[in-house]
Amino acid sequence: MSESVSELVGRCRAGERAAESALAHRAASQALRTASVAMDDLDAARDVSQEVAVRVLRGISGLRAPERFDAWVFRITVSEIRRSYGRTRRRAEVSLDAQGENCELAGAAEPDEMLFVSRELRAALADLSWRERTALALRYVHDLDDDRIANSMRCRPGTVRSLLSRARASLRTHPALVDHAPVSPDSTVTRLDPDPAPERSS
Amino acid sequence: MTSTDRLLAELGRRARTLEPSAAEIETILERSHAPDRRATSRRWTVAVAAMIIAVLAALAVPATRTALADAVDSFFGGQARDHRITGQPLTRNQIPRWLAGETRHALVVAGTGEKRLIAYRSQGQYCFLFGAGVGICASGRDWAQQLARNPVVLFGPTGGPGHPRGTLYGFTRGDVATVRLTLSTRPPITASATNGGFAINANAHWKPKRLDVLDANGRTITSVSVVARFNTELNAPMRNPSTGN
Repeated sequence: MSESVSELVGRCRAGERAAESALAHRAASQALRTASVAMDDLDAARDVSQEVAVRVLRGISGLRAPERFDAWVFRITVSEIRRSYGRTRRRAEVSLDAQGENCELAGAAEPDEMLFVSRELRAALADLSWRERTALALRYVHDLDDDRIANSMRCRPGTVRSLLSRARASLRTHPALVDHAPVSPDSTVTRLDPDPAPERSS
Repeated sequence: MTSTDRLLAELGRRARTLEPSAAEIETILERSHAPDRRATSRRWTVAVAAMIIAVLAALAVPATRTALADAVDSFFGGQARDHRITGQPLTRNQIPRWLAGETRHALVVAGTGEKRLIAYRSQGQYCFLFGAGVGICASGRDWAQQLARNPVVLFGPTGGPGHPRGTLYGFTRGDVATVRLTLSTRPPITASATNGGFAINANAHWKPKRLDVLDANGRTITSVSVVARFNTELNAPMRNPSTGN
């Protein structure tokens, strides 16, 4: 897989339009999937994915290890998610000042419940920090291990373990999830329980 | 697997089905070829930061002058702890007789042919001697202030009115390695300034234009016009040998 990415990068650097388009698609997909879980609405995630793909194409000539293309895209994605959170927070502060109680409606997108499985999960995720959500996205969407998540988020693997652990604990105990049954169609769980205690060895 | 993990796994599975649209990819390709607004913004940021640094540097000149005053002191003392300009000490026999009464310590800073630029201390002042016994003295603070403004302090040319041949001397700051005198009628003349000064024999008829002051990497630190200095030599009335005027 990494060979084909390296080839694409080489062809893109040579100015081949098709390779450029393929890399744009690869980077945008990767970023969109991450950002969709890390952020609150799909429109913002699409904006992030565009920014990531544009940065990737502009910086492709400076990429020293083409075989690490995906890791590079993850790092850019995390950076863009952080920027987007900063912008959203500033906008929210302005909206609060300007519109009082109606601020919740300002710029809010339609709920993406198809993606977020349930309104309750979405509400529970909204209470996590952007770093916790991003770590969850990299683990559950892309199945990255702690080291690769740490590389993407420019932190230590121990920090990643801590982020993931805190995020899961918050979700387990979040009122929105505790009080509502999950809507996952194939789920047989009727109530979200804490993680079971580790089994004792006899 | 806990119920939380199952929910998150389902969320991940649904997220993996997301794809950018063809229109989005087209937009990305277009934007990637357009000028980078962020880069422009960064360039502005760098420019503004550079301006702030320049202003702060200007405010820091007094500190620079103090450092230069120390350097000038070391220089005239024949020692250069923080300054690489040193000069060649003259032995007692080499010091001009009329100067021997004033100082026992003098340095040849630069020379060309028989012309010398000599530095010495006299009565708490720092002096330069050049040409036919021309001496210029000032306090260390004054020299330091001059060097803070310009990397070179020029003396001469020493031909005198009516004498187009003359030697141009200069006292240079520590970061100056060479100087280059550009002429209108012939190739430029380059002189070393590694001892803290230089001496260049020139002729006003060669129409000297400017002096380029260069660092050790050959980069131009500054350029000084010398047209007026040499025009004075040319335009001065010829001395009448019979009257001596």
